[in-house]
Amino acid sequence: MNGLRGTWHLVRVGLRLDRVKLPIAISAVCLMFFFTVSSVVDLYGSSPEGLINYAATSAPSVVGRVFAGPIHGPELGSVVLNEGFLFTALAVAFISTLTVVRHTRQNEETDRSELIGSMTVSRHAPLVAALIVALIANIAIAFLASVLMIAGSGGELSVGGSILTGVTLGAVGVSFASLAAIVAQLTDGARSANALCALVIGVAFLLRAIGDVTGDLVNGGLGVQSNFPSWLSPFGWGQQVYAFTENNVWILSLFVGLTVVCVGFAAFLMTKRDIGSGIFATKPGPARAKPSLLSTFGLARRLQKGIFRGWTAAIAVLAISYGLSLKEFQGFLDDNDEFREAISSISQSSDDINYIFLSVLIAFMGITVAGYVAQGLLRMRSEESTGRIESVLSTGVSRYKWMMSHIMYVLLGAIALTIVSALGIGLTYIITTSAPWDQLWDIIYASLAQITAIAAFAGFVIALFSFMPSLAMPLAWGGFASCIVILQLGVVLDLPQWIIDISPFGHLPAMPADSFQLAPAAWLTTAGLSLAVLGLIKFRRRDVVL
Amino acid sequence: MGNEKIIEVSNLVKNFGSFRALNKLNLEVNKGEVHGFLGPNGSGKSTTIRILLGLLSKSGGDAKLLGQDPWKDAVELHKRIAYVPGDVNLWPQLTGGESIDLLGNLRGGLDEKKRKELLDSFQLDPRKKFRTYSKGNRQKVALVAALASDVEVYIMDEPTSGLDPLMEAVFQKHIKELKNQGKTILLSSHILAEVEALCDRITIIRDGKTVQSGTLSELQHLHRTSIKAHTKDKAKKLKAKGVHNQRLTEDGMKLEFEVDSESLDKAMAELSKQNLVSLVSQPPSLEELFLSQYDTKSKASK
Ligand SMILES: Nc1ncnc2c1ncn2[C@@H]1O[C@H](COP(=O)(O)OP(=O)(O)O)[C@@H](O)[C@H]1O
Ligand SMILES: [Mg+2]
Repeated sequence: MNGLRGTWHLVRVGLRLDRVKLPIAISAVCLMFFFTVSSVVDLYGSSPEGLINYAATSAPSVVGRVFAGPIHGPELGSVVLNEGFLFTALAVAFISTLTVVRHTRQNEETDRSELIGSMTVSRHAPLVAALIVALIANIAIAFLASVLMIAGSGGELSVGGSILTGVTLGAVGVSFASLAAIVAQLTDGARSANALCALVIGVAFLLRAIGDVTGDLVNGGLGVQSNFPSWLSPFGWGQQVYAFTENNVWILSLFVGLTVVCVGFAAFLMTKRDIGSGIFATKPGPARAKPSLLSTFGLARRLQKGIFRGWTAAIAVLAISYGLSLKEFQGFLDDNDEFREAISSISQSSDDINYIFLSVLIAFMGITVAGYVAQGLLRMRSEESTGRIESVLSTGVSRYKWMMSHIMYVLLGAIALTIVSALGIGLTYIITTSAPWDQLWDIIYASLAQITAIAAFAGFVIALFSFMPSLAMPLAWGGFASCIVILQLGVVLDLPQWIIDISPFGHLPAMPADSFQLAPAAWLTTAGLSLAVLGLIKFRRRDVVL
Repeated sequence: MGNEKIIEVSNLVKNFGSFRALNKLNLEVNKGEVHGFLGPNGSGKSTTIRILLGLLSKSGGDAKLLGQDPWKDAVELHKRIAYVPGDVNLWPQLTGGESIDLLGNLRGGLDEKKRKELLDSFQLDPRKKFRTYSKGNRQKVALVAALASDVEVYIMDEPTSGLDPLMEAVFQKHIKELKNQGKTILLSSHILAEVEALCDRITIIRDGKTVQSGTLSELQHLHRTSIKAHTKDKAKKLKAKGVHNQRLTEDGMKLEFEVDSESLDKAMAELSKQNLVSLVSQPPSLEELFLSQYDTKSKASK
């Protein structure tokens, strides 16, 4: 075992470095899974009719097949898997790839590698150690997910199936960890390795989406038989296990096979590259800056561009799938009176069910744009905490100008994203349901009204950055998550008004079902502006905090 | 050059919560001088520099840069200074060349000729992404950006800790050039040879306090000279005050001791009465000055 000298030491170092990060990520994902399982069991556990309805809507639906997968049939276990499996597996894949890249390429880039380099470790030890850390994380996921699934189902689902589901989730994670081990050998650094891993995950998601969408209806229209592309993706394999019905345990050997092949190949590639660089050589960049970069705003634009592009793509996809879902929603309402009643209560004045549903979707899009706002504005904080801000501020850029350049970019970006989301929802909705074209304006107005709540949220983040810099990041994302949870629960439950009032989005009328109200819009904007002004003043007066 | 003060820091205090990082620190830098700023890790060099740059506010005392308040007049002042941070962190996605252009332009323009000359002499490839540079190369990026700007004051926080000896020489050459042009430079450093080679005056700080300040020869003056005397007959120990640590060799023909500078006269008079064969005297090196400060520290903390 001389070839792996130092591995155990590195595993211990790695687990120590991740002692906060991994437990939080793993428990967050598993808790989400638990809530999904228990709410599906609550809703459908004692309603065979509901299960049939669910399967009948879900099986033929394109959106359902893309974002949930190929439902097996009208069994409780199948519905639970359809609701909970894919997104959990997606999160597990990201946790796994990020972990491997963190402990391989990221280590090489930071001082940590110098620390490790001073110990005698063999060439392959860091890679093997990273994989072992990822394996331990996935064992924890498998265990926690199984236990929580058994607990969340309250005896309605078989214990064996729950364990198989947990193990499958862990197996998906291990497969992606071993794919990440290959990716980590290829790129020029950790950043591009993470980007390439995201692409690999995206392709794996897409392959099975194609296989599921082109699959055949079976079980009398209540199930889906996936086409072959689903079998080209670890996500697809995970879904084909069908733990509560077909119990395809043999599929686990596919994960094992993939992992063995990938790890072997990664170890081979590792011998072909230098530490700190990848198999693919880095292309040299420009030796001189373009004039467009050479200003405070030019720099902000360069730093913000990537964030904006990422959210544009995500929001366009989300908006289009929301738009598509409206047609299916109509079908769903036709045979579900209870839900029809529940959703009618959202609007004060209107009973146009399409518009009411649109108002919920538009509010979700508004909050999604607020997510962009949080990330864009928090870029200021990461500029500060990495010390890059010191180089800029010491050149004679005023703090006010520096901050305004980021705020202006993010504000314009948020308006652009709002319009993208309105067009995405509106166009797909009108085209697929043949609704009259003038409804597009109503959707655009309703979306633009969200900007007042987005502005209030932006003011909140700006104030956090200035007044509590070291806590700005967790508090801003916490605020964002609260807005989502409040809206989500607000649709399902009758939340007390004071809880809804915590979210700026809770103050807006349910447009386009209800009409625009000046008062909340005016005071949300005022609140956002005042917080932003206070933040600007405070930042001029506080220390730069690393 | 006169005695125009470029940096005037007196009784400067900085608290981080209940922790006092600077405790009545003094620092004076005259126009046209290269000033060495020395102190052990954590003594407050970077904190002082950050206050001078208006990045941190002071908790007490006074700090002036070019006669102005660095906190209130930060923006105007920054057009006249260039800063090289200790831990160079720039944007991973920009190339070195882009970062140099950006920082130079934000400061109000770069000297194109100088930029090229610096890139050549530091042997820096400007087309690499910042994230792929080693520590030394990151420092070179910041150095090129600062040195290619035509400003009055250069403030550098341990700018050469990652450079190899060859590049250290290049750095010293450029600093001497600036000095010849009458620029003022505050150089915080750990490399004593560098300080000895470049600095007109130095300030040594410890625990947020100034412990020594002056020209190198002034400081050496305050310290003991070590003497080795070789006598024809058996040497006798000296009785003069201010003589320390006398050591006679076994054959009794050699005497070694250290003497305070103010007692040097008397000691030498007494010594000359003995039959001297040879005499070696050595002024304290900066290293010894520095170590004697560390010594007092470890004694104080015991
Ligand atoms: N933002 C801060 N918060 C708390 N303590 C700090 C902060 N910045 C510096 N310190 C402390 O102040 C002291 C001086 O630090 P610094 O100026 O960086 O020293 P030097 O540059 O001389 O090594 C150190 O003990 C350091 O830990
Ligand atoms: Mg320092």
